[in-house]
Amino acid sequence: MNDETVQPGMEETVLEAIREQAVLDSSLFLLAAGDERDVSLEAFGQDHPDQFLAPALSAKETVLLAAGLALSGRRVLVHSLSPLLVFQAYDAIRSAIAIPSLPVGFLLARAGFTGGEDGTLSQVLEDLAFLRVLPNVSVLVPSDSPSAGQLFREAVRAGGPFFLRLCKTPLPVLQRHDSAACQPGGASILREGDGVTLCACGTMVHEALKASTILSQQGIEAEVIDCYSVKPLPAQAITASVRRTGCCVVAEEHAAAGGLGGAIAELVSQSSPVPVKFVSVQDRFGQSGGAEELLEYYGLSFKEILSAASQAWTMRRR
Amino acid sequence: MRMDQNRILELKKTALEVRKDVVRMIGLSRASNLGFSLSVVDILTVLYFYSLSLNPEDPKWPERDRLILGKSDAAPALYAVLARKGFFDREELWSYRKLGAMLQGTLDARRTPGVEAPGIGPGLALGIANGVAAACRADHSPARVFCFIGDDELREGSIWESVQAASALRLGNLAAIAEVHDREPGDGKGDIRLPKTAAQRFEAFGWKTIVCDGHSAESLAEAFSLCGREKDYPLAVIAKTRWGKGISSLENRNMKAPIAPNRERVENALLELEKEGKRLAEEMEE
Repeated sequence: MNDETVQPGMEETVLEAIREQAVLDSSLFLLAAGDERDVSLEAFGQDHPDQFLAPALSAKETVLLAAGLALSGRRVLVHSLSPLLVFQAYDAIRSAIAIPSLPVGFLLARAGFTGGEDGTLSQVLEDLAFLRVLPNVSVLVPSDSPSAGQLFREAVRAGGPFFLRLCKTPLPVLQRHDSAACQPGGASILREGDGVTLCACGTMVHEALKASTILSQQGIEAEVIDCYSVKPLPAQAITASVRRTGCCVVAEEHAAAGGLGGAIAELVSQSSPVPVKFVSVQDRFGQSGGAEELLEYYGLSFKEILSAASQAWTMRRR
Repeated sequence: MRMDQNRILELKKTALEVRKDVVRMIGLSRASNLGFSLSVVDILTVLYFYSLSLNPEDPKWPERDRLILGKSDAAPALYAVLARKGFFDREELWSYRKLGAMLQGTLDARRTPGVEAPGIGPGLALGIANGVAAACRADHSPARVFCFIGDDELREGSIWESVQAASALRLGNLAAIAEVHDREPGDGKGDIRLPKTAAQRFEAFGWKTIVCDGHSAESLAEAFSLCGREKDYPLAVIAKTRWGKGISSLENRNMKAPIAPNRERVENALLELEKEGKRLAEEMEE
């Protein structure tokens, strides 16, 4: 691990960025989805009454409202505490936001196993697959608070629809060698190496780094890429890396199908076919349990990355 | 407010020309939505040629009134009205639904001047209209937002979520125009969507309502003028219409199984509309 200082959580960082932007840009509009009360959102509403609504509508109605506001010149941000928004409102997301490519950003504040004890229904492990297939849309999965804030700013600046999948548990801040801000379509190479390419997003980036330290002790130098932009995929960074290493492991807090792993397999199979191994929750739904426990139980730790990396390395293309 | 007789005749004549264009468009594109378009022509004509405050030269004028069309089957009628109003060249009508055309099968606000919102599945447009109305209000704009809801959409659950949202948001600058086809009461289907039942439902959600004749310019204009009068209450205009209005072989028939018009049907429809045009011209001379 590069740096163990725990910073404000992702959601907090993004809300801070929203507050900054709201002063500079009066067209910014924050929409709180669902009927859960949130102190920091309400505080924003008090400071910017003309740029905030918490209408307590259904997910679909909230998305439609966001589309209407965006059609009238607003840059809308939909904050959702419910992990189910993507599924409940998918039709509206597709037809009212993605097809017309409206400037609406979604802050998914309870992604992956965050639902924890609430059980299967609240643990959304298929969202990347649903969102990634939509043209015009950016799908962003930051791995720490600074990158979450940067991705938010850059995605708002880019203007199209985007989804920012946030992790509730505060994650350590990563050391990025590249001084440029994280942006849609970008990637951070956190560790260089020519033994195996480890691609990961969100929580799993930290596990990939842990695995890389152990791999190094075993004589395999891993290249760790933070693929925070699941769409658009940082094709060049990934292709350049797998051409050197000849093998790849993808780790994500998501189902096996259709997420970052799927995206990278689609890319690599066309540009430079090498063996790709996946670390994911596989073809399963979740169950009740603490978020940390679940990650362990469903095989989302450095240990699985380690064994996948060893396997990929033995099959590597030379 | 009584409308001038000449103005009524003019609107009738415009609606007739729009109907002819709709028949031609659908004849050329082999679409099957003729009956669905014909029932809304009078409503759209009154909106665009009488009620809405617009500037076709500047389609994005911030203070314009907006129409958001929920009934996607009625897109040809909207296109024909927009062309006649001068939002784009009437020639565009003849490539409706063709590859690369300005006039897409699905409404596209980015491609077509005058189209306010993307085409969307049944029952979803009112939700978008809510957002547009909320934005107009936040801008302190005098703009009013009209959302046209097709007869079939009234059975969609999401419509009633949007209806509830609009009254919760107190969108007094919003009007839903809900079309209800003329039906025999007691036919099983008609019971669900009678003008009175539809109005009662909107009222139960805290809307102001008015029932009007969807083919009478005077009745429609009066209903539309009520939009924006009550600051905190959205308005529902329940417009009684006839499917396929204006073409006797279609009117109020065959709502279930629309068929693509063949050349003969198109010719006969145009002949009938031209005959009606002559009759109107005589009436205007008197």
